[in-house]
Amino acid sequence: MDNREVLIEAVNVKKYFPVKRGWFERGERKTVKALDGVSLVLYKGETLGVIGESGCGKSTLARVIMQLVPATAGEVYYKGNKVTPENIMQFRRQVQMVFQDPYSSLDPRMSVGRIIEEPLRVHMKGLTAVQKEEIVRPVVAKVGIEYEALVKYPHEFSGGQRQRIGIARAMVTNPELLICDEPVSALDMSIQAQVLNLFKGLQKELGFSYLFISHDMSVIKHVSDRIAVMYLGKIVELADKKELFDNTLHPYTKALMNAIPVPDPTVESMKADLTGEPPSPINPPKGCSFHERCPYATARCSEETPHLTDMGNGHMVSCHLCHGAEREVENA
Amino acid sequence: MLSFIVKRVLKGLLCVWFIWTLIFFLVRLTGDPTGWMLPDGATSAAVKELREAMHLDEPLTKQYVDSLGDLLKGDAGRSYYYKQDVRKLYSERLQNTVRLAIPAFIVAIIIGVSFGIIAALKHNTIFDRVLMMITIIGHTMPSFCFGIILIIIFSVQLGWLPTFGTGRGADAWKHLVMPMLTLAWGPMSSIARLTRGSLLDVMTKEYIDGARMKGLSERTVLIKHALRNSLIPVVTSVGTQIGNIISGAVVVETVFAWPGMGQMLVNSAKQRDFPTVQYGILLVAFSVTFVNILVDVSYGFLNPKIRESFK
Amino acid sequence: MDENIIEVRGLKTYYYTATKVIPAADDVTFSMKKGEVLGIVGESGCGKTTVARSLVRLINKNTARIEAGEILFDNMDLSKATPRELSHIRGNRISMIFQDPFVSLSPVYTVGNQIAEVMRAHSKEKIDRHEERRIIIDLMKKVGIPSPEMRIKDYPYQLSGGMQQRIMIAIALACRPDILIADEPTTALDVTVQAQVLELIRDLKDEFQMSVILISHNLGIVANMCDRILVMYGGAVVEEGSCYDIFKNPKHPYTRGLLKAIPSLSEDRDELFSIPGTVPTFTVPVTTCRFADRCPHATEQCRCAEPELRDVGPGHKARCVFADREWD
Repeated sequence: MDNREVLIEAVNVKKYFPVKRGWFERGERKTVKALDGVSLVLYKGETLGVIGESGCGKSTLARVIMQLVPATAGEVYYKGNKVTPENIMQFRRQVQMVFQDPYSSLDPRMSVGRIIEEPLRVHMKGLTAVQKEEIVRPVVAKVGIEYEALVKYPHEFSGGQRQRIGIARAMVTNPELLICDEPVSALDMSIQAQVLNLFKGLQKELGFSYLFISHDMSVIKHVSDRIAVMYLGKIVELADKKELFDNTLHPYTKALMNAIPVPDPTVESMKADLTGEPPSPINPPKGCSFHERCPYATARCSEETPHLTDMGNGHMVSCHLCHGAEREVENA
Repeated sequence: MLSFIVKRVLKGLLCVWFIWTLIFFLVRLTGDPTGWMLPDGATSAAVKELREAMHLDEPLTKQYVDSLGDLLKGDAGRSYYYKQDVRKLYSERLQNTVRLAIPAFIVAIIIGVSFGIIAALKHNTIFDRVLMMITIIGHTMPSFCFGIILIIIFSVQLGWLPTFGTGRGADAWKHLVMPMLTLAWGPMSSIARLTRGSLLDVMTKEYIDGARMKGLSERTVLIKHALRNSLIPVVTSVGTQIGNIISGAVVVETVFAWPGMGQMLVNSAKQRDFPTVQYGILLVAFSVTFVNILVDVSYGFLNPKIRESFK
Repeated sequence: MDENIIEVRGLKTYYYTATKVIPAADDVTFSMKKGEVLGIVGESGCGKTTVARSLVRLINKNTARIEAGEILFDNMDLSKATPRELSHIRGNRISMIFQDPFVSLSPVYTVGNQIAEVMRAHSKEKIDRHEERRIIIDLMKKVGIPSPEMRIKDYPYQLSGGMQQRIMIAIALACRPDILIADEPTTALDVTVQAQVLELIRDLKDEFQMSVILISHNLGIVANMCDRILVMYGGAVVEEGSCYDIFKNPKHPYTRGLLKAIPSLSEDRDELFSIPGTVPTFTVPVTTCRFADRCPHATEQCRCAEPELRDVGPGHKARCVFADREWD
């Protein structure tokens, strides 16, 4: 399975934000560990879903990969080449981003046409108006916006249409990868389905890869080929979609799945397996970051930090209990 | 809390010292006072003698260290012009300014806050519009203009109020009314506009509906929840208004010939009366700093999140 | 159990903008039994929050008005109640929790103080301070706040989102109301915390013997929590029925479309069903079926007049002329 082409590789990426300190405060400078050693691989043509609760670092991951914020440590490789300030422009042409909020991510003073063309002005300087139209026309047709409507301004469009505009803007440089940060969470239910279908349709037609970030498990499941589950700045489980759902290993993933309310009154769902809330990333607990809320935690979990380990079939999990089970299997 | 105040006071003293130092060197850049102190055509020997007597011939650093030392001992020097101890010189002047500034400050706060509240509660009515128009005038019209208009109306036309001086005894309040209003006008306008905006903003907040949903009367909701939250930015701005009042006092005292320290400060700056200027500025710096400390502390009482940083 | 605790008849709440009149709640009629959990579900702007807020008249007088209708609660018509009567009802007989607990708690008072406030507003005699403190701590314990003796002195910003919402629930339940209105109570919370808070509401509903009106855009939450459901679209109720009917036997094309449009966890579909078009806003008067422009089955008939909300089964109503047809 590993003869697929690797598009993005992130190696032990860390992002620490310093916590502001008053003039007279003394003591150790505190940091928020938004990303604490994340490694992942994204293959060409696939959708890698990233799920987690607020504060787990999923949006920071998108921004670090996109090089919108500098990583504190670790590297990002694009097709085997390290992304550096020197080759960042080429990288950005190949990797584009779709944002969460279709209201604030479009400049209200620019016509939609200008917004969509903007990446062309940055990445393909010197195009004539005719050439630009040749590029933009098919793109907006694909996202379902009329070319004639491009003279309008963002406020004249509905939320769903604005998100289509955001997608068109990301597509004009003909990138290989779109990083989508909660692209449907601001949309109404009936509109969400339209946009999700658009994402899938574009992938089929143009072979895009997606890094798709969401807090909504049913959305992630719908779009993804593989899924990474994040908790407090770390990936705790990563597997193929089917494998993750059929053979959930990490206790956090299990609890997350059980907590989702299923729209079917005959199915028992929305179980509150976990107590409490995720601890602050300023002072993550020692050992496994989940141990304080984990119903199965042992003494070892509070002492030793588990590492993301392949359990076979590319199913990676970061949990002593699961690792222990594997060892027992090996011994037997 | 106590350590917060101590820190704040130390910071304030540092600031006052810095201002005094700045002024010390700045006034000395303006020239030499001996020019006007001697008659025209005085010999250079006479000038030299006078400079020596006033210690102006010494190097700046020595002058600075001596002055600072004297100041710390409680000696602010003697005025070149009035030929007396500046502290004594200021004591009466300061009283006059305080008599003007404190009522102005209080009036600005009381009227400003109540105008703001009324305008917000009667939002989009004729009340609101008229009040806001008045405050725009207060915001834009220079205080001396306003003062002169008052004089024309109430002294020249109606003859109700005297135009200058502090007055004595039972008539003193008549002398006070116009300068005090003139001084309060600008800050009052700012405070009114800020209060209105802040209260209107707070009234749209969800916790106001939350308070209503507890079954509290609209009055309680307004007083207990809306007002307290909306006054937080107002209190912050009051600190900056005290600066405006003091700088405004200089102008107003001139317009109304009010013998306060503002007037004296301007005159002594013109006459290069170094000790008088320095001491005047020192008093101003002290009072502004003091009020700002008060504001910071009261801000903490209103806003628990700030209180946290007191610890 | 058969007695109606609240009855709403023909409620019309309109919003007035500079240029138009928007029927945010248009001819809404429903009733709720004691101990029932009633869900109101719909997309943004469908009027679900307007309905809930109209019940306690928590609508902005400058922009909205209750035009018509009766809200019958305890032999009283709340749509015509005086401010005094409303004060007595709010927080005492009918309570409400809001979407974002952080902005619905006053930032400058301690949480204990804010719970005490509602108790003081509705108790006839003065409560002894120690007694009051004991009741508050009890209440905080009940809503699942760990070490309430310490938390009672906290300010809202010192608590996490889930804890803040628990405080809101404590405030709402302090006077043991008959009805709790929960307006998107978990939308601002993470999914694991959401499960905890909803479980708490479910448990406390039984313990306090309340009725609950749960407003949500999330069909999953409604399916798990509610006995009966109103589906709203463009200001009108388009379908009303038992939880089972709505999810297993939906009659209105909008309800059916919505159920097919949400990605499912249990089955894999390559393409989601999608309702074409955008979520509309209407202006009065509405003279067509509100869903006609997006409905795959709409005919001329649908565009002539707005259909009635009519019975399509026992306790099951739909506002569609073709509601009796078997579509799929």
